[in-house]
Formats: sequence, C-alpha cells, structure tokens
Amino acid sequence: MCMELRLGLALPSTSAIIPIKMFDLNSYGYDPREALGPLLKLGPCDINSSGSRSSSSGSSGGSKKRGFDDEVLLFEEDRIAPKTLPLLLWTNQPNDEDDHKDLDDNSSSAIFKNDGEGLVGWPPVKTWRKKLCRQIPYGGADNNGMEAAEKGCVGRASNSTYVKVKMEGVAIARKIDLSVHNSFETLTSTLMRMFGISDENWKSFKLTYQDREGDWLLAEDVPWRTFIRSLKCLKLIRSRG
Amino acid sequence: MSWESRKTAKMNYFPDEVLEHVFDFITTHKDRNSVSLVCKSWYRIERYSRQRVFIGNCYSISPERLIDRFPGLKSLTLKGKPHFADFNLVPPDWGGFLYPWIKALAKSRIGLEELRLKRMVVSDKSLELLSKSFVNFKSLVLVSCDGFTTDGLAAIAANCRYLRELDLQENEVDDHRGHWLSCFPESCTSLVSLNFACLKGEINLGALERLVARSPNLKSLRLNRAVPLDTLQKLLIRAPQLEDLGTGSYVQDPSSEAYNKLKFAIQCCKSMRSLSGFLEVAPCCMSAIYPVCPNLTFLNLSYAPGLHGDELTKLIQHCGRLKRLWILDCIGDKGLGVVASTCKELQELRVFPSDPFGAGNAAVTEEGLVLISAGCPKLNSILYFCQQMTNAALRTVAKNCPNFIRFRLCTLDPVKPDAVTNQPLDEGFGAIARSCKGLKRLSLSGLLTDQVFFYIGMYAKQLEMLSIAFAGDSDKGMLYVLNGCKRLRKLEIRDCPFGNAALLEDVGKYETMRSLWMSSCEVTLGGCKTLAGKMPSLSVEIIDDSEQMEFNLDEQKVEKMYLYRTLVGPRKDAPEIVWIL
Repeated sequence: MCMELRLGLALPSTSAIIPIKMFDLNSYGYDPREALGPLLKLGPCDINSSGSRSSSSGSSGGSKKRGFDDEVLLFEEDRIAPKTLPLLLWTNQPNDEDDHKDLDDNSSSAIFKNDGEGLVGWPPVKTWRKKLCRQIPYGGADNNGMEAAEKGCVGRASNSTYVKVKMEGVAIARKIDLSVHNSFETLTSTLMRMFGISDENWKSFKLTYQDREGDWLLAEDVPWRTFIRSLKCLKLIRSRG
Repeated sequence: MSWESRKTAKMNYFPDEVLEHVFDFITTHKDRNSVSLVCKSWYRIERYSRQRVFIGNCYSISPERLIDRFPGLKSLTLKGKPHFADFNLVPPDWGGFLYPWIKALAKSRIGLEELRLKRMVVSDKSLELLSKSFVNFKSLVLVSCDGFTTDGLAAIAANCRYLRELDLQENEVDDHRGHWLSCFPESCTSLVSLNFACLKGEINLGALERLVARSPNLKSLRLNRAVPLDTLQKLLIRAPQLEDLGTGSYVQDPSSEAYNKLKFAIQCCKSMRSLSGFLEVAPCCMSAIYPVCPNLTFLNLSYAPGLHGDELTKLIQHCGRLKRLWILDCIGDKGLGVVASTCKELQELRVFPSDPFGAGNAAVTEEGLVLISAGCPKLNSILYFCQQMTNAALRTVAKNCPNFIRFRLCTLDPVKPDAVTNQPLDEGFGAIARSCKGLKRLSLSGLLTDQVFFYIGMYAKQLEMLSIAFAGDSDKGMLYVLNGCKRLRKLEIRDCPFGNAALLEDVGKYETMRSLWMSSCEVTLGGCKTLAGKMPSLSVEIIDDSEQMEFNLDEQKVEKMYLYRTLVGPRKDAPEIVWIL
C-alpha cells in the first residue's frame, strides 16, 4: 500500500479541516512515530553531535516536535485520492481567497518556520556555506546600519561598520564607526571625545567589549586585529581600585 | 607462413614503447580504463604507464591493490563520504579516512606527487605522514574534507619542498591560529596556487606577504577573511601576474589612501581571469575591481551576502566575457536579466540562497531562469535555488538551452507545485530531459509524481547522476529510472515512497553503478538484507544514527541506506551505528 504524503501549510486558524481522508494513526498499524512519515524528520541538530542519541528521528519525540500542533497532516491512500494532489486542497474551501493569499505567503509553511533548521538537510546547501550566511558580519550584529557613513561608505545591515558603545552610568548608547579606526589609540581618542572624558579621567575607565560568543572581555588584553574581528559591542566601565 | 599468420604476426609485433607512447595521448580516466580492457598486453602496458588514477569511492578498492596495479602512480583522486554528507545526512564518523591510504602509499615505492580529496576525513597525522613520505609531492587539493587542523597544514608547508599547490576548498578546519604560513621555508619559491579561504583564524600577514613575494610563479591566490584590504593591496603589487584571486576582507573607506593604492594595484593585474572571495564586503569598494571585470571568465560572489541587487548588476555589467558565475539570489530576477543581456558567453550559473532558512524567501523565481536561458545560448550547467517554478518556464528553458549537461533545480519548499497552475512539475522536468540529450546530472525538486520519472527513464539516456527528494508516488517511479537510465552511476534519494519492490527488482543494476543512497524511504531492513544476500559484490550499509533499529526486526523501515559496488568486500572501519549487511 502506498502512501502519499503532502505537507500542510500552517494556516492561522486551522479549524476548517479539509475533507480528505484523514489518516487514522491508530488503524494503520504503524508505530505512531513512523506514521508521521519521513517528511517530518526534525531534530537535525542532534545528528551532528557525534554519537549522541537523536530520539527524534521518528520525529514525534516530545520536545523535538516543532510546530506539529500547527500543522495539518494530509495522507491519502493512492487508490482513492487523485493521482497528484496540489500542495493543498484548501482551494476547494469556502475561505478560498484567504487561503490562497496564505499560500502565497511563503512564511506560512510551518515546516520551515523555525528558529534554526527545519527539515534535515533541506535546502541542500553545504554546511560550510550555511555557516557563512549566519556569520556575524563585520563590526558586530547590534548595529542597524541606518546611518550612512560620513565618508560615503554606505553601511548596510549586514556589513555596516558601526558598533554600539555604552558607557556605564549613561542611559543612551552611542554608535561608532569602526572602519575609520585601525588602532586602539584612534579609537580611544574618539571615545574620549564622544563621551567627554578628559585624559586624567580616562585612566579610571576600562574599555570592554562583547565578542561573538557573548563573553565580555577587556579590550586591552587582545591585539587590535582580534578585537576588531570578534567584537559585537563596546562598553566603558569604571575601573575599580 | 600463410597470409593469415603473417598478418597476425604483424599485428602482434608492436613494441611496448610504441603502445606506451600512443597511450600517452589517451588521458581521460574513462579512455584509459577502456584501453586497459582490450587485451592482456594492453592491460599490462597501460597499468605501468598510468600516472593518474581517479577513485570515486574510496571503499571500492584497497590501497594495496591500487599500488599493486599502478606502480607508476603520481596523482591520486579519492572521494569518501556520500554526497548527502554535505547536507548533514551522514554521521561525522561514518568513514572516508585518508590515513590508511597514506600509510600504504608511504610504505610503497610510489612517488606520489598529487593528491586530490573530496569528502574525506583527513587527520593531521595523515598530513604529516604525507608531507614526509614523498619527496616530489607537489599538489594537495582538499574539497569538503574535515578532521584536520592548521598543524597539519604547517607540516605540509614545512616539509614539501617542491610544493606547487595547496588548495583548500570549503573544508572544516580546526584553526589553531598557529603560524602555519610561516612554516613555508625561505627556500620555498615554487608555489603556483594557494587557497586558504576556508580557514577561520588569523594568519601571519607578514609571512604571507613574504611568501607571495618569493613566489614568482604564483597564479592563484585565495585569501581568508582575516586578510584585510590593505594587505591585499600589498600582495597584488607583489603578484601582478595573478590569474585567480580570492579576496579576504574587502572593507575599506573609499576615500582612504589604502583604497587608492588598491585601485592602482588591481589595475596592474592584467592577467586576472577569475575572482572570488568578498567574504566581508563594503559595497562602496566594488568599483575598484571594475578594471579587471571585462577580462573575467569566472566570478564568484556567492560568499558575499552584503552585496545587493543594484551593486551586483552594476558590477556584472562590466563582465562581458564571463563563462561561469556564482551568485546569491539577492541578485533577483531583474539582476538575472542583466546577466542575460551582458554575459553572452555564460556556460555555468549557480544561484545560491542567501537566506536558506528564511522560510522560502528567495529573491529569484522562474522568471530569472527564463531570462538567463533566453540570453545565454551557451549555458550548459545550472544550479538554481528559487522561490518557485512553473512548467511553462521549464519548457521554455528546455527549448532555449538544449545543451544542458548539469541541471540542478531546488525550490526552497521541496514539494512546491507549479506556482501558476498548482500542478506537479513533471511536465517541466520532462521537457528538460527530452530536450537536453546530453544531460548527465539532474537534481529535481518541487511537487513531482511518478510521471517525471517516466520521462527521465525514457529520455535521459546519458544521465549519470540523479538526486531526488520528496518526489514520486510509488515504486514505479524508481523503477522507471533504474530501467531507463542505462548510464546511471549515482542515484541518491531521500523522502520518497520507494520500497523493497523497487529496490529488489533488478539487483544486477547496482553493479553497473557507483552507489545508491536511500534515506527516509519505504525500504525495510529485510529488503536490504535480501539485496545484500543476492549481491556479494555490493556493500550494503545501514546507518542507524538514532540507534533505534533492531537487527532482527526485518519489517523495520531503514532510515538510511547506502550501497556501493566494491572489489574488496565490507570495510572494517565503520562505526557502531553503521551496519554492513
């Protein structure tokens, strides 16, 4: 007996269930987790942590369920359903217009709406390339790149050279363009100017930065290159003692 | 002597040296393999004169047998893990280890000069042994490999006196931030190609500059992200003869002195034909490369998500001679239109998704593909990640471009139907199969039924590699392909309703193929066992990542199966989660 599986897009109110043969998990004689079928293999993260037991290969393991509640699963038996079914049969439903719009809204596919991976290995993009897409861009992820650089270098969200700088005790954060600096000297003099700190007062501050892993580090501990590469945002703190 | 035997005598009296000389002109692996099958003496002569060997599956043969047959081996290409390992479907310790090969080759008298690896596990230990065992070693190319660190690279740099090529493409390298570059001795002046773009760590910029300065033959240089633009400028001044450049970080203030120097340096590179990199990029700096664009035949901007539609099109308008273009989908359909009207020599196009998990918000659709097909008559290879596709578009593409050798289409939603008619994409792909008589590689996606496989089996007679995902209705689909595609070598299937009936119908077929991958299909353990029992020349592997399979339960569906023909029986290095039946 062949089964045909189709993805159901998650629609906002899924109470109107399509009148196709709904698969009765209990009567088919499959292990419930198997019945959900290969399409719904979630839990890709475990596959790479070597040797770890990924209990979600069958995909219905407790916490590994993602969006299942939002999804409607469609199963047809080959002999009854038409040979090929369009992605959804929603188009036969009363709320045709709305559904159609949702069909076009590509973000409504629950399988793909996620906080990380969706289907394992889909889309088929090399891991190495995927990591590139997620890399925190130069200069940090906090900035929005809204301001065009004074010198005409237009910063865009993914490649802006602006970073947030906060000073302890000051409510408003400032933004600083890192691309114009290539040493701690110029950076610190800009910061001093920005926050109105004089030479003597500067000694009572320490420049810290948050790196890509979220750790806070002292800027003076690392070489400039390392600093520039890994920093996300800056904070001036008062040094104690 | 009678007339016949005189004739025969003449035919046999053909000195070995003459045959060897003739064989020198026979260079492709396919042809050499054919030559070796003609007769015993040809086999003998061919094997002694063979210098280059390609092994598509490292488990199909053993290093010992390789060494035995080809004592004159100089260049070896090895491939390890199955293709779907690229997409995380294969556990990391599955196999594909280089070390046993190096160990065996090192013990032998083989004078290895070139090693090209794909999807192998390469340990530092193997790199070290490699670097110390072959005096004339010249060329190391690693593609999508893992298992090594920069320490291994340091060994290669330090010990391979005549190294010409070190080419690292998209490998997972543990970067110890050591000074591997500084390990190239002062006496090393032979470098022709150096590619370390995939390394994530800092490198010694001074050492890099000095290395480039003493490498007059350097033609190809691909830098990693840690190399800033002002270093790039210094390198280009030293190496204006470069033909292939991969930039590192490409960010600078365009009004700065450094940027001006870069502009000048680039203009000196009159031989530049290939450009890639831009791992970090400031769009305003792109104009510096306009002078080299008219001569470029290969442009790879697929690592540069910071470049958007307008900048991309402005750049491409300068690139009239492009033959190969790799780009991100942020170029958009309109941008592809610009490519179509500018790049009349285009042969290969790859459009990658800039946002693979953005729930299908790719910026290109079937329109872009149609424009390209209409504007680029020489197109023969495409990889296209898109939002949507239609049968009409595919039919048009098939008509415009009958010369496709490789056609890989990926709709981000794997079962998306024709965006206009909501029908499956069977007809569209069928048109491609029918029109492109030379099609060797095909990847399908979108809503597909058994019908598309009917077309493929019927028309795609030259097809060698087929990738299928979430397609088909029944065993018939897979059978159409197995029966119809006589030249099929690699078949990889995931999430399709193909089961034992299809798998077992023609077991002899798999001996004519390199490998078959089936994951999340309907094949059961029992079916796999039957197959393994009937075909001792195949190695049938079951990958049980989740450790949920029970060996005696034949009715279980097999999550992942990988089978391949082999001359050396089951391998002994498989991890516990891999069962070899």
